[in-house]
Formats: sequence, structure tokens, C-alpha cells
Amino acid sequence: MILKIFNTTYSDVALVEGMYNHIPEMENALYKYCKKYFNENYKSVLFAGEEDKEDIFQEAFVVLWNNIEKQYLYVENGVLKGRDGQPFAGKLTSYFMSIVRLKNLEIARQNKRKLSVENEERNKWEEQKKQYMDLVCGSKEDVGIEVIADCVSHMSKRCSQILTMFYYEEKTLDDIMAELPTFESKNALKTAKYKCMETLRKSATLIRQRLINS
Amino acid sequence: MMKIEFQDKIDNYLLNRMPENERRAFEKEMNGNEELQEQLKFTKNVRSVLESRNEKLAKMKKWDEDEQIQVSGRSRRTWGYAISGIAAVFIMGFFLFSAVFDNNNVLTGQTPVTAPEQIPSDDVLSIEKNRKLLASIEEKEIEVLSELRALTSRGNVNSAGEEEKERVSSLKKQLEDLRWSRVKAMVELKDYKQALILLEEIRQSESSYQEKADSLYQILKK
Repeated sequence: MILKIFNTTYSDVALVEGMYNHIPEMENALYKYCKKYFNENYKSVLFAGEEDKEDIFQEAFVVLWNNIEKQYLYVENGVLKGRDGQPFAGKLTSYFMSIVRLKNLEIARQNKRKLSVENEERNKWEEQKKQYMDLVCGSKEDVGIEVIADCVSHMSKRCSQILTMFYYEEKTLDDIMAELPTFESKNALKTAKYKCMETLRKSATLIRQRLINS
Repeated sequence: MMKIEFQDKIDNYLLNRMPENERRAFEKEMNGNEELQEQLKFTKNVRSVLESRNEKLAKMKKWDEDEQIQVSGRSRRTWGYAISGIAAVFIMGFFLFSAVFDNNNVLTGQTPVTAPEQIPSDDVLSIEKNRKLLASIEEKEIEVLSELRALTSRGNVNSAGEEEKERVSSLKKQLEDLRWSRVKAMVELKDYKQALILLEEIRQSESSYQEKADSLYQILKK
């Protein structure tokens, strides 16, 4: 599929290659490409609810981006290839929407929404596991960090905020307390942070074990 | 199972908040402790994931903001073009309208001469004012006439300097204008008899008002 942005034409190959090489124009172009396609087609895919639409798109695009960085999708001699080293059969947008479907399922489960019979069928672990392996993890060997990345995307907003401020923004506990006045003491904040990490670790370990042992 | 007491040390180690001697001691402690190593590895991975994720989310947010700016800019430009276009149409229409319906001298190039009741005057003056106006015109006329006579009495005008020639020409023009103004004032005062006498003089002379004087003379004569 060809994308025209500002009268410039980009192919799937160009977009993936540009994304991998961190070319800002191409990163932006792929983002707009996926967003446009998502906005035009999400209604046929999403059942988690309209209000989660933006979150689903964001999480799905982060996964796509990660997959390109990890070369689960890559360009070799001008040909777009998949994880198995074979020429990529489908379109980039279809691949992206597969990730969207997976994220939709995860968020719907998280929100404990009532699913239709058809969706419950799709909820079976075996099918989800395959999708998960294909779209999120490269192989059983490098399941660890990908599963952590996936679990981070499902963290509560509170945990996400605390861990982001501590590990990404490198703020001290005192700085974080100043911005999150609900914590009455440093110890309370430290305990909350620890619990977030522990929850994350448990989720990641569980998923990893299920994938490896299956 | 993670240990909270390990986590503080791990955090300080990863975020370079540990003095050098403590770092060495911690690394030594790690060598013999698999649990600690596992927790360190996990924390490193979480940090790496958070870094990657937040950088991506920040870029995506920037792109959305840029898109919003572009969209609102395009919208403002579209409105700007529309308003400019409408304004241009109005301005052109105004000038066209003015040109077509201007009844002074754009199309005909002539000022119409009408019957005495219709002689245009810039102000509606009372009889008293018209009399005063007439008196001042006559006074001015005498002044101009005196100066003209003084200049022409020096001899042949043709041999005079350029400046003098120009002055004579200007005075003659002034005199013509004053005489025509006097005609108009007389007509305003309905003193047609005097007006006819003056008009006769003007139409017999080589004045620029000769044609107008002739027309008005014919009208007043009737």
C-alpha cells in the first residue's frame, strides 16, 4: 500500500526501513499512516469500547514500533520480510490491525467487559498465545523483555506514573512526593513503588511461564 | 520473590546514586547472590522498557500536537483566503459601481450647464451672503486687474522675462475665473441684466469660459 503524505509517496518497505533507521520524517509518516488506517477501520475491530480507542491505538503502535526495532519486521534487499525470514505476505496495515485486535482483547479483559459468544471463542488462550507470540514476542528465547514491555503497558495509571517518574525521569522520592501529594511519607511512596514492581514481576513471570511451557 | 531491602540498593546502583566504594561492595555482594542478580536484571529491564516506551509516547504526542497546529493553521488560512476573496470582490464592486454611476465627468467629460434655477453652487447662500461674495469678487478683480495692467504697461510682454510672462498668464486666468464667479453670484442674486452684460463680454473674449458664457447667455436671454 502506498501512502501519500504532503504529496510524497511512501511504500511499506520505505516506512519500515525509515522507522528502523530512526528517520524522523518516516517515523512521523508511519504514525500518520497507521492512525489514518485505524480511524477508518477500528469499528470493525474494536469491541472493548469507544473510550479505549486512543489507548488501544497508542499501545498497538508502540508494539509495532518495538517490533520494527527488534527486526520482527525488516527490509532486506528492498523486500519486506517477517520474523521467519520470508517475504512478508500481508500489508503493513493488516499487521498493525492484528496488534490492535490483540490489544483490544487485553484491554477488554482488563476492564472485565461482557464479551459476545463470538469474542469468547476468540478469547481462548491457545489462539491468543499464538497471536501473542507472533506479534509481541519474537521467540521463546527472548520472551522476557517483550513480556515486561507488554505488562508495563497494562499497569495501573498510578504505577505507571510512579515508575516513570522514578526510572525514566530519574526523580528522587522527595521530588515524586512533591508532585504526588497523596503520599504522606517517603516510606509509603517507597512501599507503593515496590508493590508496583512486584505486581509487574508476577504478571510477567506468569505469562512467560505459560508461553515457555506450552 | 523480590526483596524490598534489595530494591533500594539496586535503584541507587542503577541510577548512579551510589558512592564508588559502595558500588564495589554491592557488586561483590551480587556475585554470590542469584536472587539479587535476578532482581537487578528485572529492574534493568523495567527501566529499559520505560525509557523506550516513554520516548515513543513523547514523540507520538508531539506528532499529534504538530498535526493539530497544522490543521488549525490550514483552517485559519482557509478562512483568511475566503475573507480576502470576499473583500476583493466588494472592493472591485465598489470601484465599478462608482465608475458607472458617477455623474460628474467620468463618462461625458463635460460639466452640464443648466437654467439659472439649476446653476450648481457649492453653498446655499443667503442674498446677503451673495452680495458680500459679489463685493469681494469685484474687489479681488480690481486687484488682479491693477497688477495685470502694471505688468503689461512696462512694454512688450513678449520681451519680458519667463517669470513675468508666467505671472501675466496666471493673472489673466485668475481674472477669467473671477469674472465667471461674478456671473454666478449675479445669477444667484437674480440680477440677470448685469449678468447678461458680463456674459456678453466673456463670450466676445477669448476666455476659457467662452462656451459656457454663450450657453448661459442664450438661456438667460429667453
